This record gives sequence, structure tokens and C-alpha cells, in this order.
Amino acid sequence: MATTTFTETMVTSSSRAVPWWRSPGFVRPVVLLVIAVAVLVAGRIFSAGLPSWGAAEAIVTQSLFVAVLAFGQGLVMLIGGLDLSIPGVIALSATTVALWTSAFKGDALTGVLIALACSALVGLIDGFLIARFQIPAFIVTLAMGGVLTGLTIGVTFGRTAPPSPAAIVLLFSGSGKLFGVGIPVVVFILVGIIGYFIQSRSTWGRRVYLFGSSPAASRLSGVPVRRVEISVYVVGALASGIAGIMLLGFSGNAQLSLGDEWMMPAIAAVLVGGTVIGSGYGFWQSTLMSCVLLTTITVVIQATGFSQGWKNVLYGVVVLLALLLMRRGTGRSPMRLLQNRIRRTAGGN
Amino acid sequence: MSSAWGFLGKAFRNGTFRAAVVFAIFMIAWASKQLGGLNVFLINSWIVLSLPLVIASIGVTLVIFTRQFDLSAAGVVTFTNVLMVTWLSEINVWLAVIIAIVVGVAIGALNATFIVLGRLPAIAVTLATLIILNGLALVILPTPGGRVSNELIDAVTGPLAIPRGLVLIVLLALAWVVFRRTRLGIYLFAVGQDEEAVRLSGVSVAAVRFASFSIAGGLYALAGVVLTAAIQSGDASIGSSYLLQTFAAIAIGGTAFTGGSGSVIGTILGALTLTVIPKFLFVIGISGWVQQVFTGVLIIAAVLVGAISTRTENRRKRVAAPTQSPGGEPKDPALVGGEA
Amino acid sequence: MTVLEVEGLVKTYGDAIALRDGSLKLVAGEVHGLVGENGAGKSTLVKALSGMLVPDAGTVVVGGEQMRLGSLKASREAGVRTAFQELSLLPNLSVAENLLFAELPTQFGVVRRRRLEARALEMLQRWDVTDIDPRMLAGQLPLSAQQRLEIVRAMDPQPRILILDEPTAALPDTAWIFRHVRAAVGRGAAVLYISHKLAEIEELCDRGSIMRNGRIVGEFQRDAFDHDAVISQMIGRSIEVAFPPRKTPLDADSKPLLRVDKLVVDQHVREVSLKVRPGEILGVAGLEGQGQKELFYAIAGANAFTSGEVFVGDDPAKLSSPRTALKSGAGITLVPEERKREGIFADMTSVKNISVPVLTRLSRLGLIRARRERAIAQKAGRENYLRDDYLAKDVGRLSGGNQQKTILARTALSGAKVLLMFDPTRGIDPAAKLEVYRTLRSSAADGAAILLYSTEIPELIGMSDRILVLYRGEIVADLEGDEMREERVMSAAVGRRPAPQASRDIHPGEHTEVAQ
Repeated sequence: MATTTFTETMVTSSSRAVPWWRSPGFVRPVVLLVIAVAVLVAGRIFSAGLPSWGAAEAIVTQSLFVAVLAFGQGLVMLIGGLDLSIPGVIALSATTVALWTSAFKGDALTGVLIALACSALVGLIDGFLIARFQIPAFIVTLAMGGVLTGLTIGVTFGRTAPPSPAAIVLLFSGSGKLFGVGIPVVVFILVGIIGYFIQSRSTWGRRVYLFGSSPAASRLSGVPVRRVEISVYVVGALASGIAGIMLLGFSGNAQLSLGDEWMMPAIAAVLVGGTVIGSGYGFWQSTLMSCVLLTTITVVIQATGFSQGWKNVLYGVVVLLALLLMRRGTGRSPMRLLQNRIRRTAGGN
Repeated sequence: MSSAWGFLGKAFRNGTFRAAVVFAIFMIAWASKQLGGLNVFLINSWIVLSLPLVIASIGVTLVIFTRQFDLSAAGVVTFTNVLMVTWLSEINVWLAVIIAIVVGVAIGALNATFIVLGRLPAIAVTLATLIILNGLALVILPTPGGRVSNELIDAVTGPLAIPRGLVLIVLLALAWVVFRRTRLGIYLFAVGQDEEAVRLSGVSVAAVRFASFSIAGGLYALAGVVLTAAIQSGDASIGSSYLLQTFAAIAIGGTAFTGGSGSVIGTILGALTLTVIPKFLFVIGISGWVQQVFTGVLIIAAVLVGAISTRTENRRKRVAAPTQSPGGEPKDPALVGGEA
Repeated sequence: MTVLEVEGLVKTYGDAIALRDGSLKLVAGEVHGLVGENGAGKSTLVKALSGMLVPDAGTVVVGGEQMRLGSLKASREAGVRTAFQELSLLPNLSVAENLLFAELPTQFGVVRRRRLEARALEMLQRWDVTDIDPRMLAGQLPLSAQQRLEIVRAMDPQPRILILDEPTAALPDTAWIFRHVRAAVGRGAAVLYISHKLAEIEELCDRGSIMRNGRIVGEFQRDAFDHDAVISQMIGRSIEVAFPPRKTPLDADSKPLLRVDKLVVDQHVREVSLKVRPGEILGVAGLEGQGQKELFYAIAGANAFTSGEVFVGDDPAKLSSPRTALKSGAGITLVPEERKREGIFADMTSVKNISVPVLTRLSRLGLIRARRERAIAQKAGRENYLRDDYLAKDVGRLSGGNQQKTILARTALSGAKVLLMFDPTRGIDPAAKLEVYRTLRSSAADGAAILLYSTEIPELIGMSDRILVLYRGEIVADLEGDEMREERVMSAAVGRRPAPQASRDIHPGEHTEVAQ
């Protein structure tokens, strides 16, 4: 009896898909950017030098480093892990390049390749331990970070930090210019675009999201879960390695403590950007903009003369606030209310 | 003879036993290589410096039992240390200690509020707390220094036939043995095993979680107080190694990170092992960066062994615990289908 | 005397409306039955009454006072106790600890073990449970014992309102529980008894309600119990329109596509062998925990197994992981038990859920072609009766039925020809169920070999060509044709040898073939 009809009773007002400019993937980064600009403008209260193009360029430059780290960390957090080895990998990578060019008289490019290969290897080991033996990621990476820091000391025999090769300094200290702005600004834009394509459009990125959303369903649907999990940590370590090389150029030499102050901002940026740990939910655009926001806050604070301690306090508080606002689930979170409000005022049901 | 091996095999599956063995190995190694052997003075100084880690690790262990992570231990330890040498340094020292512990409990409760009531992930919340506390410590005490009451120092490190620190550790171990048999002790493990089942049985999971974080906070503060006495000053960067070391102690101690089982005694042994190793390495001439590498590798090895043994243990349990007796006979007489 | 009054309970999850209008009245001293198909809303109603979830609307009045909703504590204080369908025992704790979990006896704060065990023993004896040692670990008990523990926990001390959700699912017979339920109502309790075994309902209940699609659609009384009427109200359509028929006749001579030889999985599956031909639907019946899950997951490559062999066509299947199973010959894939946890990607859209198996095919230079992806997903979705509207929605917010259709669309795209379906219609509204049945028929017609497990025996009978009954990890019955009857399947499922004469057949009417 093909005429038997079964009333589809499940239609509600949210059946219609949301247009792209109302989706969280667009609204959130815009909101974050607006807040960042507002903070920068408000910085005028503390310092007559703000806001200025120079400050903006400094912000974007520093955001670049955080962004690269946040890219790797964001993917790791998407699948439920936490990468605490960032300072160690940065130190290793920077020191490798610096030593290669200064002590071994090699060329910068080869040094960079060696450093990246080492970073990838570290990520491979981390990923293997985590995926195969189900050891919590933060412990493995934390311990590995310690090992790497120790190795770095050993390799340099505790001497003073080797200097950065000139080429890299040119690239990332802001002295080299392209199109009238410092190269880091250009790289920042590139990182943004490439990151977007990798995370949201690539097959690999999709598999990472699937794994983060449901490891069990991924496994049953034939996703190569172990390969995906390990590759995420490899990418994370590579990101740290790349950041290390950039920081090498930015700071002029390969200090052991090069990476220390960048890990927390990276984690904070991922959380503030709305990525939910261990779910498949997160947008690279938001993370990128929250890098900008957090760096803006840092720069403004430095202008006010507040101490390092307050900076940390502020970071922690911002993270907590972001966590509270970005909660998903019951649909009563403030962010969702904000989105709904935007949706409604913009017309449509 | 086979029963002896069987017993040994069974013993080795117990995480605490393994931890004891590892500890004994390194302890003996240190003692044998130490010039002039171990005397009470050496042991006392070792224990005094290990105490903070031991106490803090116990706190983290309690949270791990409930299948959560607490990254804020290092922050509370540092913060307490800084408080003791600044704001709390002018008042009666015992009052200061009490206040410090209360502050620790409050911080733990604050963590729990965000995690339980706010329904936020524990790792993120405690990480944020860690950052904030470290920041506050730096604000209050930008450079190391400060005053520590002699009374406190004596209380912790004072001369005695038996090191006072050892007494404290034994007391903590005994406290654990008792605590494990209390309602809260049982509920802690139960929540780590199956939160939903606990809730359905009418026990408040939220209350248990609050208790775990709060007690842990109090222990971290106690660790900070002891640390203050041990290093006899204040330093806002002192706690930085505690993050890794507390979890390392737990891993070496044989407690699984998936919660629901384990022992505080294992953690105590694990923490002591972590502090004996540098001593041992030092007397055989290894120090500095090699030590760091060695420790890192050891931690990974410990966690690895723990993870593997948990896996094989679960597999064994699945096979060995039948839903009926091995012969295939139903245990429940009512289940026997009558011949038609 | 009305002791519980439920009015207008509503509960929705995103798009899915689990409860539309739950209204009920319980009278003290009476057993009130609650019947309905899977997905009708019974569990949601029970959870709302027990305080496990917060309804979106509605009131519950107990003994004249309004009860606070959404709090387990409030429900307990109001006198409502529930024995849930999903067992909530803690396997690593002893029976005694489980029974008295909320009130462990202590002295100076420490739990007194002997007193605990004595009290547990007392409790068990009060309810005629004599074969369980309170010191045993709860996880080591057979399922029937665990279920009895669950029930004893709810009944002791006697509550004002006792809710039993499918209490006999794992019990071999009803004698014990009927005795105690009758004693309880004799003492003035009101019992809400949920079961899909109509024979039990008829025997035990004084009155009852019928649920369908989230609301109460009818009531019945003991003295006027009309099976067929009740069933037709449960199903909501003429009982003749039950299951779509085979599309093409089964080729009896074709070689089996799936062959399982003496599969052993720990002690859960003991030497199970079976064969499924292309185009055949082989039904598997069994009570919970009889090894069916282990069997299915082992064949799918999701669990390791102890010994035995699995063949796809002529070749041995590679079962080291679900991924290799998918690639073995014609391909094996599993539609899993727990949709939410292992079936769907809740945070992602339907399109992304469906396209998983063909991602590489959809990408060029490592990037996914979004338009192509949507087109392929739309096609697969339509073939599985998933409306286009739902393609861009997050799957976590869809109804159970639509979630399942998404999963089936994905399964279709995977190209696997050996389909293992584990209770695919659990928790799905009747409309979606029919669509799932149609999908199964189409797959079979395309040459798939389907292994179907279901907890609803009429469904198995209506859809399968043959039925295997699993009991304690072994196949105890292999039924075909006339032998596929509910009573026959049930008795094999509880371990009884074949009875010579069935006393009373209870199945939802004759299945008339429906002309398509």
C-alpha cells in the first residue's frame, strides 16, 4: 500500500540550514577580531602610543608565533589530547638550526630541514606512545619535553646560546620587508589561509575531525584511526618546530627558554577560539583571531607596565571566561544566545 | 615451587608492589654507592625535600581516582609558599599554616565549582587555575626571598632519632588505609568506575567530586607549607617541576589514569622513587642534563608499563570472570530449562 | 486513591520529540501496565518520573504534592523508586556494597564489612533471593542475578511508587517477580510495570496505558483485555501493514557470502557457525548478554576473537580491524549497537557523516570537493529515506530514526556486501522503522548478505529468512518457515528445550504480505 502515509513529525523551526555568514565559523572570528580592535583602541588610556600601525604590526608578528603553535595544539586538543612539549621542541628545533649554521658551518636551509625532521620524529614517538598504549597525551608530551630540554642542554654543553643564522633573522625579526610590511605579517596571512585549507577542506583534516568527534564511530566506519591519531601529534610537533625556527629569527639566538612563554598563550588561544577538547568541534578561523586577541591583550598590558605575573593571571582568567562562554550542550550558553540574537535580528526565522 | 612463582606473578600485577620493588632497587643502589653509607642526617635531608612532592602527589591521586585530572597542584604549592613568606609571615606560624590549608581547600573547591557546576573539562579548568596561581605568586613575590619562622623549620626538619618527615609519611599512609574503608573512599573509586551507576544509586556524584578536589587542594597547601620549611624561603618559580613530577609519581606508583582503582601508598613510593633517583645518579657521577633526560625517559617507561599491565589485567579479568561457571552449568537453578 | 498524577510531560532533544504529552494516573494498591513499541517514549517517561531528566513541560503530583522534576533526590523523597532497564550495578564492588551503596553502615566513619554483609543478606532473604552470596563481586554474577539485585534495590524498603522497566528481560520466568509485585501492591504500593511481553501485562496488571509516538493513545483494563486492539493501538496502523516483503526470491543454491566457522570469543561465544547467502537475511535472536554483541563485533573486526574462521565468499576475512574487514573481499561492515557513541558523529552534519567511506574518492589533491560530497551524500540519503532538509544539520540533533538513516546511508556508500545489523530499529519511531525495513529489503535485493539482530521478535520473524537463537554463546535453535513463531523463539531464547505444543501464540496478528 504505497499510499500509506506516515506523518513526518519531526519538523521544527531549525530545519533550515544557517547561511554561512550567520554560522559560528564566521560570527565567532569576527566577534573576536572586533574585541581585539576594541582592546587596542582602549589601550590609548594607558599609553599615548596606542593605537598605531607599529603596534598593529607588532601584534600580528607575535600572533604569528602563537598561531603556528595554536594550529598544532588545536588539532591535538580536537582529538582530546594536550601537547605540553612545546617549549622542548622549540628549544630543540631552534638550537639545531643555530648549531648547524654556527658550529657546523652548514647552510640555513639544510639546518631547517634537519630541525623539522627531528621535530617530526619527536611527534612520531609521542603519537605512537599515545595511540598504541593509550597513555594520556599530556603526560607523554610533558615527559618528552623534559627529555628534549635535557638533550638540548647536552648538545650545547651548557654553553651560551648559539646565534641565529642571518637569513632567518632577516625573515622573522621584522627587519625584512615585503610589500611594505614585515615578512611575518605576510606569513601570518599565509598561515591563516593554509591552516584553513588543511583543517577544513583537506581529507586529512576531515579525518582528524571525525576522530575527534567520535573515535568509536571512526573506527567502525573504516577510518584508519591509529594512523590519524599519530599523524596529529606529528603535525603538532612540526608546528612547534616551525615556531622554533621563527622564534630563532625573532629573538636572535637559541636560548633554552625560547619557547617557555609561548605554550600557555597557544593553549589559551585554542580554548578561547571555542575549540572543545575531545570533540570534533573547533574552527581554525576562531583560533586565529583569538591569537590576535590574546596578543593584543599582552601588548596592551606591556604598555601599561603591569608585571609578568598579572599577564599570567589575565590569561588564566580569559581562558576561564572563554570556557564558560563557549560551552555547548544545553543551548543556554551565552555564546549561543548571542548567535541566536544575531540570527534573529538579521531576519528570517 | 610453581606456587611461589604463581604468587610472585600475582604480586607483580599489583601496581603498589611493583612500585615498592622499583623504589627498593633505587634505594639500595643509592645506599650502596653513597660514600660512607647512609646516615640519619642524609636520610632526613632527603625526606625533607621529598615531602612536598609526596603530599602533593597524594592530592592528585585522589582526583585521579575519580577519573579526572588536576593540573593545579603546582600552582597551589607555589602560591602557598609565597603566601607563607609574605602575608602570613607576621602572624603566629600555626595559625598561618591553618589559614594556608584553608586557602588550599578553597581553591580546590573553586576548581570543583567550575568543573562540576560549570560542567567544564577538568584539564582546562585546572590548567587555567595553575596559570592564575602562578601569576598571582609572581605578583606577590617577584623575586625570591621572604621570611620563614624558625619554629616551622624546626618542626619539619628538626633533629630526632627518626626523621619527622618519615613519621608524617607513615601517618599519611595509615590515614589512607583508613580512608579507603570509609564511605567517601569507596565512593571515590566508584565514581571513577561508573559515574552513572553511582548517581542512580542515590549518591551525589557532585558532592564526591567536590570532596576530592577540595581535599586535594588542602593537601597541596600542606605540601606548600612543608616546602616553605624545607627551602626556608619563598620562590614563585619553585613549583614548576611539580606538574610533571606529581603525575610521574602516580604513574610509577601503579595507579591507572582511567580512575576507579589504585593506591595512595603506590603514589608515595613513586614520589620517593623520583626523589631517590637524582641522589643515586649524583653519587655515580651523573648530573645535570643527563639526569633530566633519564628522569623523563623513566617517567615514560613507568607510564608505559602501567598502561600495558592495565591492558593485560583487563583482558585477564574478562576471561577469568565468567557469567557462569566454567563447566557450563548454570549457577542459577531457576535457569535450568526443564526437559519438555 | 490516586497516588501519582502525571500531566502533559514533554521532552524534546533538538529535532526529536521523545515525549509529546505524557499523562498518567497511578492508584495505590494497583499494578499499572505501560506498553508501547521501542521509541514510543516509555523510557523517557520513566526517566522523567525518576528524576533522571528534566522535562521541558508538564507536572507530576505525588500524593497531592507537586514533585520537583529533574532531581533523583526529589523523586526518591517523593517515594518513587525505579528498577531501570539498563543495569546500574558497579561491577567491581560486592553485592552487599551495591545493595546498600547509599547507606553503607559505618562506625567512626569506617565501613563495617561484617555488618554490611549481614544487612545485605537480610535484605536478600526478605525478598526470597537465596542463591546470591553478598560477598561476591557484582560483575561476576549472571545477568538474571544482576537483574534481581537491581529490582531488590528498588523494592527495599518498599516505596510508595515502584517503577519496573522491563524487569523480566533477563529473568527466566515471572514467578518470583510477580509474587513480590503482588505482595507490594497488597501492602499499598502503586506499581508501574513496563514490558513489551503482553502475556505478562495481561496476567499481572489491573489497568494500563498504551503509548505511541510520545503520548498515551489508549488504556486497557484487566477484565477487558483485547490483545489485538492493544497491539493495533501500539503500532498505530493496521496490523496487516507490518513488514515489507522480499523483493526477489532467495536463490537456495547460491554460495554463502558470509561463512563463520566455529567462532569462539572468550567465554561469550562458543563455537558458533553460520552461513549467509547473498540476498539472505539471517535473523539472530537472544536475550541480552548471550554473546550476540561479541559475535557481531568479532565478525566485523571490531573485537579480537579466540579461535575460529570467518570467510567472505571463498576467502578468509582479514579481521584485525573494522577497516580491514571492510576491505576483505566484498566487505563486512557493522551497524553498531550504541548509535550515539559509536554510530554517529554528533557534531557534524549529515553530509559529513555519510561521506566517510568515500572521502578519498571525493578528494582531489588532498582537498575534498564539497559539491561532489554533497551530491553523493544527498543521493545516498535519499535512497535511505533521509530528507534533504536534514543534510546540513548536525546529526546529534536529529531524531533516532534519522540518525539511523544517516548511518545506513554511510553503510551503503561503503560498498560492503556483508551487513551486520545490531538492533537497527532500537529507539526509532514506527515511521522510520518501516523505512529501515525497506532499506534492508533493497540491500538484500542488491545481493547483500545480512545478519540481523533484534530485540523485537516480531521484527525478526517479519524480516528474516531464517532465525538463529543464541543462548549462553551457543546456537540453540535454527528456525525456518513455520517454525519461526514468537513462542518458539522465546522459549529457545530462555534455554528451554522445544516444547511439544505451544500453549498460546502471542504475536501481532498474521503477517499479510503487502502488495507494493
